[in-house]
Amino acid sequence: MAHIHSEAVLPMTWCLIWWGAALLMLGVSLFKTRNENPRRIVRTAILAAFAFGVMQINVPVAWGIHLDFMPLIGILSGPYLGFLAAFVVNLFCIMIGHGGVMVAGANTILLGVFEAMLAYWLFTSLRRVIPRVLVRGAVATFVSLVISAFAMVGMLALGAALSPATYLILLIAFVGAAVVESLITAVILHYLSQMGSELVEVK
Amino acid sequence: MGLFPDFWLINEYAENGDSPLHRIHPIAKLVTVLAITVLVVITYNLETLVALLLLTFFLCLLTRASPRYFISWLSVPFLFGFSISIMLPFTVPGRALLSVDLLLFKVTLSIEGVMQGLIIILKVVTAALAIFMVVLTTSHFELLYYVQKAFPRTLSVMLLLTFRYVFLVIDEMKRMREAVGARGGSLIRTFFENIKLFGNILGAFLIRTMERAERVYTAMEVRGFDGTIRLLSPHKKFSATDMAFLVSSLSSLSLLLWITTEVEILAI
Repeated sequence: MAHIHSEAVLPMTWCLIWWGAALLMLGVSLFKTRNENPRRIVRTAILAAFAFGVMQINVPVAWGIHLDFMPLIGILSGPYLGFLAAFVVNLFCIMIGHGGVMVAGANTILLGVFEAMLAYWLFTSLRRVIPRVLVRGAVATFVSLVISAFAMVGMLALGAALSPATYLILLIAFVGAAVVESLITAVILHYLSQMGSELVEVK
Repeated sequence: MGLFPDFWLINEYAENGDSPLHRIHPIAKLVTVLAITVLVVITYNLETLVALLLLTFFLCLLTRASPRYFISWLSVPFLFGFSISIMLPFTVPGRALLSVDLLLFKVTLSIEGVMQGLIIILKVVTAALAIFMVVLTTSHFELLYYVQKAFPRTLSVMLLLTFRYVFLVIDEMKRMREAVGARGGSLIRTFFENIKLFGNILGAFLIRTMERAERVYTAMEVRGFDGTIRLLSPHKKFSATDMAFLVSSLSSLSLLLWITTEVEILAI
């Protein structure tokens, strides 16, 4: 959800730094998933298609927003496959002008690390503290999305000379959307757990 | 026409379109787009950006896709560029373009701020147009062939399968939205009712997607899938025409830079 929607708002130096970080994380994720069960890879690929499809839907909540469900994919697929899914979704977004080649590194870090990986980590670590999937899903998603929104604003602040008011407007918009996405994600996770899906408590 | 590009339409142009750019080798087009994008990122010169926008728009016209499509597809990048540049005229110090005295304070729009905002919007729009030029004219299977060659197995399998399923997912979502609309779902205006409605619909849709994934995996396993997808080579040979396109596009970009004065590589 919190990602840089267009090319050319970050200077070249920062584009390269974020690309370097993304490639490093990509290497780690590929190493960790080298012996992954092909069934889970296929499942994650289809979840990535789901996330990309969802991004094209304008949800008529508040002023109309779009979601991406990367925290949900992280929770369902695990951190490393979740990171790979974030990279794949970013590549597809480039194809429709939603994002960009040079900002794809920054976007992969935002969606992969701050949303998919962080949400997975929060969802699994809070298992004992918050046993209810509905609440735990909402908390994990909301926290990861808010941190991701702050990270995105931080990335912009490091690279682009925008006014503090602009950063504040972006933060308010993304935190507002985080409320919506975390509630919908919680309802989906609750629905999946009610249906007895083994996806919700992925190892 | 929606706010987001229609993936089906892009695919139709890419696979079945016939324009001079369709006949150019993907690598030549990708290098050109990368060069345009890098220039857009490092340039802060208004004249250079206007010239780049015109050049990219001309290349988009060569795709023979209707301009109204790619102009409407610019909405998302434009809105993002606009949202981050809207405050600049009020906050960047400089010569006053307009000054309004309000009761407690004075609002001033600076010329420098307006120029900075304009530069951001020009950058955003040009970079997006460059991408549309390549995706509208390059068969996605050709692109995926190079992806498969470039990326490790796990990633290339994910990319290929995601591509395969994106169309089905988008179609099913379209049907789902129509079904919700037909049942009066679009009339719901309450925040929590909408959350519940979309949460349940997307949950059901996710379950259906996962069931499909299971069926697909079983079918693939039956056919001997071992975790590797092998694509038949659809790629063209890099011909003299492709080289001529690449050289002429890179020369045009260099000439354009030279004409529009020096590039301020402020960012590096």
